[in-house]
Amino acid sequence: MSASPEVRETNRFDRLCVLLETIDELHAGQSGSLSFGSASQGIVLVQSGRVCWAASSMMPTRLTDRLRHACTLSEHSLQLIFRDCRASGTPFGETLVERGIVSFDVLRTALLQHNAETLLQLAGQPAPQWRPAKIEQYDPSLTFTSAELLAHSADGWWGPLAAAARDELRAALRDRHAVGLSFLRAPETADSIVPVGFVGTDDLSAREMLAIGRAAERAMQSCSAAGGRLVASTRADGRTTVIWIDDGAYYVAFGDDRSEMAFIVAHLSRRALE
Amino acid sequence: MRTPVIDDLLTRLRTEVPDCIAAMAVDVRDGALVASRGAEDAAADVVRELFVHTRAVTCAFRSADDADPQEVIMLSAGRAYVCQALKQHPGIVAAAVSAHTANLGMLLAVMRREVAAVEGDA
Repeated sequence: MSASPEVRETNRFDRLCVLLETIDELHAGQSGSLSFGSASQGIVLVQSGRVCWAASSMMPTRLTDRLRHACTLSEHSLQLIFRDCRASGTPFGETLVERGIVSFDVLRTALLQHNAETLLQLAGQPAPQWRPAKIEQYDPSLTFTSAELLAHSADGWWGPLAAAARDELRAALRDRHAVGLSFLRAPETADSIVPVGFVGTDDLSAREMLAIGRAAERAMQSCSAAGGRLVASTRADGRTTVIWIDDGAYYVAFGDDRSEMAFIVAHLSRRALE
Repeated sequence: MRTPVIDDLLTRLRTEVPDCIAAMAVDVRDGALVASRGAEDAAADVVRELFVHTRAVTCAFRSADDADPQEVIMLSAGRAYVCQALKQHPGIVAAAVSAHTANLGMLLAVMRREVAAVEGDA
């Protein structure tokens, strides 16, 4: 019996984790490209250790398709701008922002989702070849960490659930000084967890995010027999870790201040005990 | 390692902690139930697992190495576990299990007060 489409996708997600760890660890801080198969099959451009562009011949959705939904221009008009940019070597996305066709936030979100979903597609291919190159023309704010890409790679089929988990995380942490992460549960994957969001940090790696998610899953599994839904652990210096499960998702928060974390626990405990 | 100090602490926890159902001392190195007031072995396993696994989560973030928990809380739909590592008894954790209706702030305050009293911190 063949695997369902969702199972095939989640197996590819496991391979994406390996691909992102490759970028983080083997080529940390470097610039260059990862080429998949023949030159036309797929490519990932990396600038100073951050992914700036990913393209795959197998991707049915292009960046222009995503942007067309966010602006009033026709596909034809967008294609004309795209060709002009390619001919002149001007970055396409930045040109759209400069001309007021899309906002910066819309562009960044579209680019992040495009790159994340393309990487997920490419992760199913045989191992790519790394070629160092001088890549420095991309706006750093439009390049992405492995954790950002990992957290958005599942949006293609878990988008609404992932968005709900991100909203729950933001609502729980609000403006508290804490780092938070959210994960969906996916029992058919090797790890059973899918990272979908994080707040309060810019320097999280895919490996770190996965390690936290795996450990959090084990922690919640270990207390599932006792019906545990929230666990808070405080060290002698006051640094606190809170793990909770809600509506099929795992959440983890780290904070240095015991009283700040107490607010989070109080907020969550009202629901955990309902 | 059961001592009169631990026995006295458990007796106080059982009577002082709001809505307390059970109190216990657990060796989190092997999960042994050192002493108990109404707790069963299965509860000792829960306490040990809480300490082991929350430590692992903390270690995974920024590769923290000094991640030994001092205090762990677990909330479920029916119970609240409040656990404190005993400084004077390395590896031993005192835990109180209360009904979920108990006020969490009170649970923590009483637990900290009673542990501090027997540890000489009060």
